[in-house]
Amino acid sequence: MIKLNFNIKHQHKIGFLFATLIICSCNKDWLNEKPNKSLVVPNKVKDFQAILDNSVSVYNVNYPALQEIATDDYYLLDITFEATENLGQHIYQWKSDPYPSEIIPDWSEAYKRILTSNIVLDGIEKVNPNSDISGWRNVKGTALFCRAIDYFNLTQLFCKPYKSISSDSELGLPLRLTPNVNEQHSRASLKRTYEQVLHDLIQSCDLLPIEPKYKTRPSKGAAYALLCRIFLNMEDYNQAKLYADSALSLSNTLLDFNTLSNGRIPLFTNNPEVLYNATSLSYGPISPLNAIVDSNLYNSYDTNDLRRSIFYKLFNNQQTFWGSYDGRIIPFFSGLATDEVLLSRAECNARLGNLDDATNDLNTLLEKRWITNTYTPFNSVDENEVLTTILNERRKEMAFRSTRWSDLRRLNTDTRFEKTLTRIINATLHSLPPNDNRYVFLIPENEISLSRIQQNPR
Amino acid sequence: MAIIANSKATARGMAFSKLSSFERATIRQLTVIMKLTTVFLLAFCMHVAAKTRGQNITLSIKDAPLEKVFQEIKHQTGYVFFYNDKLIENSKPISIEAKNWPLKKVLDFCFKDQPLTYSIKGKIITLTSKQIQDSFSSMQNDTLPLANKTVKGRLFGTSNEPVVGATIEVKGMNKQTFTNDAGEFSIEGLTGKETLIVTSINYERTEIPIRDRLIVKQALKIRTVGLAEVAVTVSTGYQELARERATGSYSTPQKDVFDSRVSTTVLSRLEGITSGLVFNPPGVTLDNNQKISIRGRSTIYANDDPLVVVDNFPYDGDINNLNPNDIASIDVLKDASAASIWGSNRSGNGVIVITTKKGKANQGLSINLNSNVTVSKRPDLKYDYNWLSTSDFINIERQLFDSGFYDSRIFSGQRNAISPVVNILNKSRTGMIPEEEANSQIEELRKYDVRDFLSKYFYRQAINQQYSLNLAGGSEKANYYLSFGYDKNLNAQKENGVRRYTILANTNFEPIKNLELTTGINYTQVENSKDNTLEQINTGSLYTGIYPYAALADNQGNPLSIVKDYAPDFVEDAPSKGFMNWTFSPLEELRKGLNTSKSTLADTRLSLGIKYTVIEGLNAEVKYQYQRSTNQQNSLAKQDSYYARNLINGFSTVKPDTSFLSYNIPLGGILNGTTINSEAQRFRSQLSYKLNQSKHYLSALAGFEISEVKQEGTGFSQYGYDEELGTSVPINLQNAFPIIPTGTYQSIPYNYGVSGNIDRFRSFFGTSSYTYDDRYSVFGSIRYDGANYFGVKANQKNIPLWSSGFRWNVHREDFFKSASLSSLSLKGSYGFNGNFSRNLSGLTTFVYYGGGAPITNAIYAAISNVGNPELGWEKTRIINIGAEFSLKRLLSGSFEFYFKRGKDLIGKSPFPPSSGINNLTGNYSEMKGKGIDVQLNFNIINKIAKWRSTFFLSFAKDEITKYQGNDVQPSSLPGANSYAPYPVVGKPVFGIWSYKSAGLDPANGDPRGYDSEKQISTDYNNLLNPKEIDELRHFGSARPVWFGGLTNVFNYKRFSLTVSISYKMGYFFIKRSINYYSLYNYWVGNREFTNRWRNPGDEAHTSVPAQRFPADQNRDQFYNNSESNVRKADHIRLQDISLSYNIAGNIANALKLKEMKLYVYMNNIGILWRSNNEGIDPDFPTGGIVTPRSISFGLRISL
Repeated sequence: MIKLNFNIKHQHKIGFLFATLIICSCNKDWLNEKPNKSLVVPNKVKDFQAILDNSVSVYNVNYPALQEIATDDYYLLDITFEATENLGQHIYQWKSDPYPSEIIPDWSEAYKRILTSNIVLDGIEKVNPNSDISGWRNVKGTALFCRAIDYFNLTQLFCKPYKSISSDSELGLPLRLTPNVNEQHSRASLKRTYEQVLHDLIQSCDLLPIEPKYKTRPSKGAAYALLCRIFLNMEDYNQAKLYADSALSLSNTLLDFNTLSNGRIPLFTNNPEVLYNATSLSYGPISPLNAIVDSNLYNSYDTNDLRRSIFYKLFNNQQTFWGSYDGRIIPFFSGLATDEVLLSRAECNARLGNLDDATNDLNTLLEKRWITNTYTPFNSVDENEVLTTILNERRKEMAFRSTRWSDLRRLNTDTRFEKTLTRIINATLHSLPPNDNRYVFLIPENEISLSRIQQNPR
Repeated sequence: MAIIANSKATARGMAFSKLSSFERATIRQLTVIMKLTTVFLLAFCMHVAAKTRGQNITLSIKDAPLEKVFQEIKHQTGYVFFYNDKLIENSKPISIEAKNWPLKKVLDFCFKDQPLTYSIKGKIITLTSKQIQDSFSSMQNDTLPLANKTVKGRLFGTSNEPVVGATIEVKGMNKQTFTNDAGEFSIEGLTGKETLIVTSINYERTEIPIRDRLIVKQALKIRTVGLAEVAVTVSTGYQELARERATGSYSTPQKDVFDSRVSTTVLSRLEGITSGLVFNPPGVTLDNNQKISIRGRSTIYANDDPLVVVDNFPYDGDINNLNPNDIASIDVLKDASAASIWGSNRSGNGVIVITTKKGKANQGLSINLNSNVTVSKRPDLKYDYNWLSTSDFINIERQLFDSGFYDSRIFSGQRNAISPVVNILNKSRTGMIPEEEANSQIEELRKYDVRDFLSKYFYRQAINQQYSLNLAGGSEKANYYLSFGYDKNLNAQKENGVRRYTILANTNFEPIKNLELTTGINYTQVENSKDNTLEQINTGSLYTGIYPYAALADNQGNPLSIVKDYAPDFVEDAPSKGFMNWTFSPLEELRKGLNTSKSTLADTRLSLGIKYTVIEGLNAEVKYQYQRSTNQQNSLAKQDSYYARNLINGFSTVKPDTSFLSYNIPLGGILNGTTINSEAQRFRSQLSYKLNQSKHYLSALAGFEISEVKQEGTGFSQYGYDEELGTSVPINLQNAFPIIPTGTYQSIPYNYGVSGNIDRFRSFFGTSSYTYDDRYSVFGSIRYDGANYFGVKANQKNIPLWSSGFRWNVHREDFFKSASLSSLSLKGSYGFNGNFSRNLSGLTTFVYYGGGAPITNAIYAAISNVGNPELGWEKTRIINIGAEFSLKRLLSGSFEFYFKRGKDLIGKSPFPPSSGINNLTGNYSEMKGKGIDVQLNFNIINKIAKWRSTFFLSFAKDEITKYQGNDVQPSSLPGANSYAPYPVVGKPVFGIWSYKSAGLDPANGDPRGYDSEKQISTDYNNLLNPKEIDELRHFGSARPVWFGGLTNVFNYKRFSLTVSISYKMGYFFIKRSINYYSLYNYWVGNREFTNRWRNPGDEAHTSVPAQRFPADQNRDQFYNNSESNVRKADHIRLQDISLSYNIAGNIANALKLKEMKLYVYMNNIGILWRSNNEGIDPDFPTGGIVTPRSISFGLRISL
């Protein structure tokens, strides 16, 4: 019916025509030009470094603090409790109901950093490393380190304590590893989550420098210290000890509290113990103006122990905490420091039966904390006594450092150290028995409703 | 230069050889020509006309063939002969001795003894055979033998003009032929029982049963779609479609009404004559300045402008740069089937396809001149109801002064401005002037109204002049169109004006067989000049308005200064402290031209098209367009201007006693400039195939398109500018200085600004349509788009946009024997159009912060936009169902229904926090729309007097069906006259919301509302912040839901009268009312003040709250945005009237003119009916200046 007669001589003309247009259309980068001059697309090592150096609103700040509200290191007066914000009250009472607010910054700020780290990790892979090889390695190492510390911190709030036997069946976190916000994720297993954290960290150890330019950037030593913290948390004392050794081999300088001018912890930049500076979110209950230090804790410091006067100040006739390792009063330090590594190694050695090594590390630290020549080195052949002493000293040294909650969680699984926390609020007793479901925080409501991930049991 | 060569090759005859020298001069001196005024052009044309008229023929020929005579006549007069070569085969040689004979005498002499006769129409002499003419009557009734016979015939139109180039097919046989220049044809091998089918571009398809005749004479009807003069084809910008086969929804403005309108710009001529198109109120601030919409809104946040296509390519730049006189046709593509070929390039908003004029083949030179002048009324400054009379204003000032309201301002170290009345009252209070004198001074001020001064000294009647000249012509192988346009507009604001020069040259030629070259050159230059003084006439300081009794001149018209920015005594003392004069005298500034802006836009568009006919019906085409425009805008404040003096004084350094020490801004003028350059390149290649074989008609097109539009802008400031030398002095931009007298620190203002955009598109497209027997048509199109706006994934996905459609011409069916209906067609289409938002990017972007991070001092940055790799096109699904019909010759029209569903529309969506963000802007929203377009064409009288009337009715309604973001708080909805989208599911994109009103409190005249418990309340803070959206009242759409027009065209002999009425219905606006807080603090008045509640009982007849002092901002805000101020916007407007008189006949003949038309045109005549009874023009609901009525006089000449 319809006939098309193509002459051979015409075909080559059409062919020529289409050849031209296909040449034009094959250039794949042609559509990748950015449409607007004011859009700055990060594409150089220094751009990504600048993003990682944002210690103002992203990194180094706003680390989780809910867990600190829930610890036994302090209490509130009824009147202060009434005046504090709803979320703070809720956590302070260890309530099992849903949160009074939809958004929980501890969760969302951590994931905001994770997204930023993912953007950096994705972007830095597209930059030629040879353009600035040390810068490139630092960027990648930093982003991996930061992603790891965030995921680890989140496990301490929103996942059950790690147990090697059960970790495969326990709920971990939604593991977002790419910058695509559209991806949907359910909660990975706890084992998988820890594996990711360790994988990122071990990779970052290779990439990070020994001496970072600023203490707001992680170093090799910081990565070792974090690995030590995580392995201790996983009760893998051999690995924890090894990483403590590595960390301390790079830096073991301690701050002598006797040398502090005006009795204040120096700014983190001048504190040789600080390996990686980070601070946590501020909440009413743990504000230095509100939180009254638990008297058992306060009284456990010897009068010759300088920490008693440097960490704590009398405010409204109550002892309150003014010793943030960050060097400023608020926010509270939640980063990594050499004193923690030393205590962790001591604990590992104690648990592994190397009591001399354990007490050595403990004594090394405490000598710098007590008034010069007043400290009597501790020695014992009783493994239990050594361990108990070290754990007590750990609580005293690391008060208000965001780690108490993790320690409570892991120690509760050992009947020797388990503890029921109690509070009296408006004449009502509230208690949190060991291994209670409430040791795992609820995942924020808006997360559950939008991504439909599994909520923690109550 | 191609034009000249081309023109020379094609042009024959005397008139043209005169003109070609003109053209050469033109091209050489483009710039010179652009400065020519109409006087010159007119005179020139008259000159040409006179020469042509006076040309008689002188011939001395012996025994020459007829052609020789024809050549001579052509050469001497420009008359062209049309004939069939066979016709003159038998002609006899000619001998003639003519000396200055008139043409007719020569022709009569030549044809006296020939078997030929002639007719003259225009400049064309058509030859026909005497035999055929003579034999028509005698042979008509002869019977044919049954053997093979030849049928001859002639086709002519209603005024006996020959139908040239018509196709004649024999029904049921594979035989066809065409008519020659005389409208004659002949077909061999017939029996005499067949039926002939005649088709032609300009005439209706006609079936002629031969009925055994040997000679067939048939008159054909001029083809019309509807009764309006509408082209039989529509252009999609990619191809021309025959209307009869088109499945899509097109509306074509009535060209005669379009042409009868007088305006500088193109779009303004479309109002009320284009189905489905509505102008949005010019008097309200719109998002992205969108002026028109087609079939309602199809997007929430993306660009809502329809796509404008000029000569096959999207037009970048201001559409107002086009000269309306150059426009040959406009087609508006409304549905998926029509517009989807434009894919995601805003086609979801509709497409306006504009084609500029071209020359026609075998057409002698034609020259058209159009010139008109438009005078507009002086703008009515008193329309703005945001005004309080001088007397009321002064009373309030006295009242406020007595209660100490101004004391903080009077005694402020900031030296705030205070009004003359307050100044007098203060002087009286401090005893500087006696009270009686103060009172009499104040009484004196009551006489003034600043609007009288503004109207007298700053406004005038706007006068627009428009001149347009075009030349067109063509031979068989080439044609050209050349036009010059000059517009000179003197705006209503004094010293403001626009000059526009346009040049357009379109040529088309066929250098070798089957190869067609098209070139287009378009140059536009727009020069805008502006005086900036008017904008500065406000009091400044804490006030946005001006005190109503400001006198700008004394009785003799000498400029007076007004209070501006500072306290009067501060201004008085300034010179004695060593500062430059610090007073502001607006009229002096205007008269001396101290604040002026000039902008010059130069836009060049070059296009080239190559079309090669590979085989019959198969064309390969390549099109390329380059467009470059430069817009340079400079504003200069001379040293004597208040603007410059104020800056220089303000930034100076003072001694401890606050007297002047030194300048930080150098003396001299201040020049601010901005330059925007844009460059666009577009390339398209396409293959098209057409097959027209017996009952089958197939058309297909496929191609590829690539485009890049680059735009770059830069800004600068120059201080100490010397106009004569063009020099300036560097300034200190780093430091901030304490400003005199306020002491706040500021840096010297600098017009920084570098911006740049690159848009890149790459598309593949194809369409095809098939028609069987002119009865059934099907259509399909598909397009893949890529752009540099999106995430990687969207580009990889390349989701195609497609459409399909059908059409059934019911009247071609054998069973169609309706008594009343003469034609009926049904059509439908379904498909997807696209859109996108330029403000978004799929890329991840970041921003560096200034300065280092605290403590570390490290350079730091943050992510500013998280890239959305899935960001993609908005898609609008459109279903269109329509019917076209005609009822005898009386009525024709069309009905169309459409349903739109917007998917993947840009909007916000909340994200789970684990994604790292709270929400993201992406393709998360949906909306729907539906509507009706009706067009009815009535041919009421069609005798010597003609009256046809076209009625348009459109209904367009939109509704958001999915919006996830929570960016709309109920409190942000009331009073949203800003026309920004406030997406609320279940409501239109632009809605009018208000607080529910419970009337005024009878006790004290306070406005009352309903709280969340539905109790009457005056807790304004609570009322302003409703928790739920249903605590508010939603009135309806803020955009017209029903709209259209009624156009009447009357013709009587040489008179033609066009009257257009337009209407908009079904929407609302919220008017402004008195806001006491704004009145006291910013001097924003409102006439409703006089209707305020004064005494108990007043609440029965007024909703305006009682005056309160001190004012409660929340109370004012609540009242202004309450339902008491919402009005229906429905109105009917008498848009324009155009009257023309065609001076044909003797005068035109004597001048040898084809046409000479005088016309008068009145525009913006007025509102015939409006639903509000407060005299508010719904197009200017919030006040301002209404477009004034205008009248134009013009002359159009064709030769």
